[in-house]
Amino acid sequence: MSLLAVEKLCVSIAGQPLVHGISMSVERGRCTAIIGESGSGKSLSLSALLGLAPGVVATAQRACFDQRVELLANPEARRALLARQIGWVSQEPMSALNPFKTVAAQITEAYRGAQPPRQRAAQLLAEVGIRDPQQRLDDYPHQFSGGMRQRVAIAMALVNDPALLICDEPTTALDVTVQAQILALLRQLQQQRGLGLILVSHDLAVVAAVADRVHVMRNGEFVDSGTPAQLFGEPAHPYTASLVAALPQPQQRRTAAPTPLLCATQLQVWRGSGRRARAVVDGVTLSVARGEIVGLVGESGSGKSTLGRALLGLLPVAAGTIQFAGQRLEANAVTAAQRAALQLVFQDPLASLNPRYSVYQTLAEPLQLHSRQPQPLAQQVRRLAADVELPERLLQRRPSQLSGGQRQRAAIARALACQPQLLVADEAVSALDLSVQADILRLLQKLVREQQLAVLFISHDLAVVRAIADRVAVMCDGQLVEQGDTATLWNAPRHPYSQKLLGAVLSVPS
Amino acid sequence: MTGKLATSAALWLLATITAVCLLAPWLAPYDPSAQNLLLGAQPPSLQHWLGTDSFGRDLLSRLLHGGRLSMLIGLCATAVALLLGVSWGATAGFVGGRTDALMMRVVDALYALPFVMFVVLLMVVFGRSLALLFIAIGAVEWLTMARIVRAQVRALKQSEFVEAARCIGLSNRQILWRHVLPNCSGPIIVYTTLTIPSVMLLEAFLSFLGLGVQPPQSSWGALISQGVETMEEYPWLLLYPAAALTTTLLCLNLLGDQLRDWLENSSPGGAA
Amino acid sequence: MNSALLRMIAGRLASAALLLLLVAAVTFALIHAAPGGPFASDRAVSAEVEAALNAQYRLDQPLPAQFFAYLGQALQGNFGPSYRYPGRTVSELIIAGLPATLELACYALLLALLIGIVAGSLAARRPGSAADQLSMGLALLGICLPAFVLGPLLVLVFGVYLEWLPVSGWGELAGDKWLPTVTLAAGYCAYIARLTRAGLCQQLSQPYIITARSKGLSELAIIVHHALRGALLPVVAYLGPACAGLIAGSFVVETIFQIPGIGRFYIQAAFNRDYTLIMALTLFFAALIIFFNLLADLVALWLDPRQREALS
Repeated sequence: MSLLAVEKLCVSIAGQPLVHGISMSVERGRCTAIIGESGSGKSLSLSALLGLAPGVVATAQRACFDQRVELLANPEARRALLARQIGWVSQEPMSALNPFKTVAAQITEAYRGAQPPRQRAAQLLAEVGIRDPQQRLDDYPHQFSGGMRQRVAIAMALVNDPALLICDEPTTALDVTVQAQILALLRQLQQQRGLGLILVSHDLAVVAAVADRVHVMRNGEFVDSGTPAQLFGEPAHPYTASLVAALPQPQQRRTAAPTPLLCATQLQVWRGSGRRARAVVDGVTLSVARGEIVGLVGESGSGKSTLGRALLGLLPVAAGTIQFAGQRLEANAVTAAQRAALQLVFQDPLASLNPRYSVYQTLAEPLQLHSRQPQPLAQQVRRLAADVELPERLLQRRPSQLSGGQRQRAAIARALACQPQLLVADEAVSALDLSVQADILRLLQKLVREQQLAVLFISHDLAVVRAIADRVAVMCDGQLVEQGDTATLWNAPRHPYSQKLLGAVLSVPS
Repeated sequence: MTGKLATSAALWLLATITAVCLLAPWLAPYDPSAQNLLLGAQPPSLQHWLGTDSFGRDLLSRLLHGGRLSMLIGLCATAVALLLGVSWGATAGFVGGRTDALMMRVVDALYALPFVMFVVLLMVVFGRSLALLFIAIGAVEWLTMARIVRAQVRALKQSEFVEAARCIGLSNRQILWRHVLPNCSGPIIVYTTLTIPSVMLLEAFLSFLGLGVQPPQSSWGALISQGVETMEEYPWLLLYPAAALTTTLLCLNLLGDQLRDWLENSSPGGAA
Repeated sequence: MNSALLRMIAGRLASAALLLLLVAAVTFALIHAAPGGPFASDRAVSAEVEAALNAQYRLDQPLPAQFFAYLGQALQGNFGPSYRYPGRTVSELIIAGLPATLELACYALLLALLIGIVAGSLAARRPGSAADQLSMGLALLGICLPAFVLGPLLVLVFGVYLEWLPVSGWGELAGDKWLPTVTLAAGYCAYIARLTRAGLCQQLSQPYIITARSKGLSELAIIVHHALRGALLPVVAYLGPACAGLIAGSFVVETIFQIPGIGRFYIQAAFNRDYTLIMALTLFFAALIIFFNLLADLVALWLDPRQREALS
């Protein structure tokens, strides 16, 4: 008996159809997942079904909850259902809670049960695994970490013992170890309460870990459906197959140059000022050689990005030394040659490009500054674009007119324009869809091979690092707890933190 | 759609008002200060489209000449505010650290001063010269501009594309001129558009109190002030100057608002 | 938390004292830079009498001495005698004018808050709707109709033509408080409505509103219980500095409606070069502005837990 049955759901915004007749159902105690890349309409379908997004028009042949209530026909009944029977958890733990209200007030706001509200709130907080729930009732959302906020959001969705829980990318913004905990919590709730679960995600591994049935969504349609094992084991539909193929796969290892290009010894970097100053990087020793990719992994706040910027001479170092190509590198005395040789690629390609510059201007600027080649500037720009496989016709466009992958190519080209020797890629593929991510990774590997670049690849995504890095360093609370050859570290992590981190990684069954 | 229509209407209206006011010396049908005591105050007629005041002076001519002065003051004082506010705010925001803290503390302190009272005092004490009027008004209005520019510059300074610019080796000066300032031009333009009406309002306020523009010169504020004195007998002397001022302010504010909406919607991450 | 709050208030009071000193110095310098003293223009006064008057008001002493003598007395609450209202002290004049000014400001602010917040909320509920366009159009008009235009127009319509309401005075005839209050409130009302609408629209686009909707709350409950608090933060931030404008507004409104408040005194004092009255009123208004800015910051702290956190 299905808890929620949807047939031929269509969604449009301002007359433009975006979801074209999808059908799905979920039973009690089961999990149905929708997977797709950004813009496929997966989140939109559900928020339209629940009437959460204003200005969205949804129609369906049937959208029936518990075989009784037609969701789309009756907004008032739908609201009553939302209050009692359907819980909803959003993807943004940082902004999904009201910053002005205490968590207890938010959890029990819609509570209809008989218990005293504060007791109910404490009970739920305990159930989702928050320690000392009594003490935390009057805390505000900003006093919780990201993972804890997501737990609070789940507690809030559970307040009236709903029969159905809808989770929209519930772990996307979270670290892997926290993600593992949240997914375990969802599975546990599903089993203990007989909860029906709908999960929306872009992450194949997450879906494979939780779902009983998966729909693959693309351009507003379900192109493929089945159990995770069927779908990812022997993908039948070409799009599903392409998704599986885009998963990062371990590559052939490169042989690095024998002497390191960059060598940091006992590095210490402080951030903040006055009473809030603290060592974000503490006693790090690390080296990178030409022709190799060194992965730097760790959870948010571990100091990865700070370390990357300090290695580029962008942040002053409190203690320790950096040797680059045999010379001392100091942040307040970086030579022009060193500045050009040390380049950075950012996570968000849109934010890292000047919105007023065309791609041509973005690439011409560093060339004018550093290039000593005799060819005309326009020719050099075109060659750079060709190096990063960026079509020439895009050169006059601005960042807002490019796709995510094209922007990241432009950002990489800008770094290459300086003819760098070391590239620090700070979460350079984390904001990109799976297929685009695979392309950019391929590009990076090509550049390392052809130009003998040294790359420090910073990422929280362990699967990507495993696929691309020759060596890996694991960072935790400002310190490198372990480093070594990728395969060795993966197969036999020694440090407890590495073990915990790698143990939390989900993989797609093949 | 209505918004678009209103905007283009406001633009045309403003352009027309500005043009006829600036061309007042050539367009005005009469000498604005030529008295005709025999004629006295007349309601609007074919000879005097907007009527005459109690000295028999043609209101239309006075309105055009007054508007010319009001607008010139609006533009000049806004220029003062723009120059001062942008350079102060950009310096504070870009240099950061202690300099920023000190410079913004000065702005905060000035914010807390009863500036309008100082302006009133200034005008009383030093006589009512036009140059002083520009400076006094500009000095009041630059504070908000400085805050806006500083906030923009600080946000942009931390943005990734500025870090990228630093990484490719641009100097601070190049970063400020090429990457930071062009990207705050949107808010600067918007706020400038909104400063002009508030400057004109302040001038009219001072002139209304008898502290701004002095006879024989006249501005809309001064005309309103004169109109109020005789409004029961000759209401047109109040209504037309009031309508001129309000319409102009309305157009400027409408354009500023539209510009802001348009900028906020059209540049993703641009000015954030 | 409480000690941090006390520290903040103490810091603000200390800087307020400095600011007031600065205001006193600047005003003093301005006044004394003026050509001609307060008695210079009186033709009736002979040279000897002028000298005697100057001596009486200490105008013959060096400036710094005058300044510090003034400060010393001001700290004891003695702002000296008025130059232009012989026989009356400045303090008496201010105390006589204060009730009308404060009453007018309070009524205007309450009216502006009430109408502004309600209109802004109605507009934000359905952006682009007729209610939105109407209230925002009126708000725009309110911003462009300064008190010195709106006041006379209201007098003309309701006082002269319709003869519904009295056109001057304060508390003398029934209904004579309506026109000044509306005149002073209009601009604030317009700004508050716009800020409320913008704040609400911004808050209503936040993800936590979707969370609230997913709890099955009604749209009204979402606005009142979730969005309004954040939306009012910019309004509160505006209200602090706005009291500076309230003072400027009271100059005009008290002049138009002939209300015997301290705003009208100020303009008269400035024209008359009534030094002691100018000094005292400037200091008084500066203190008022500083006080309201502090009050606005405290209200913002009360509204926003994140700001409270940042404080401690």
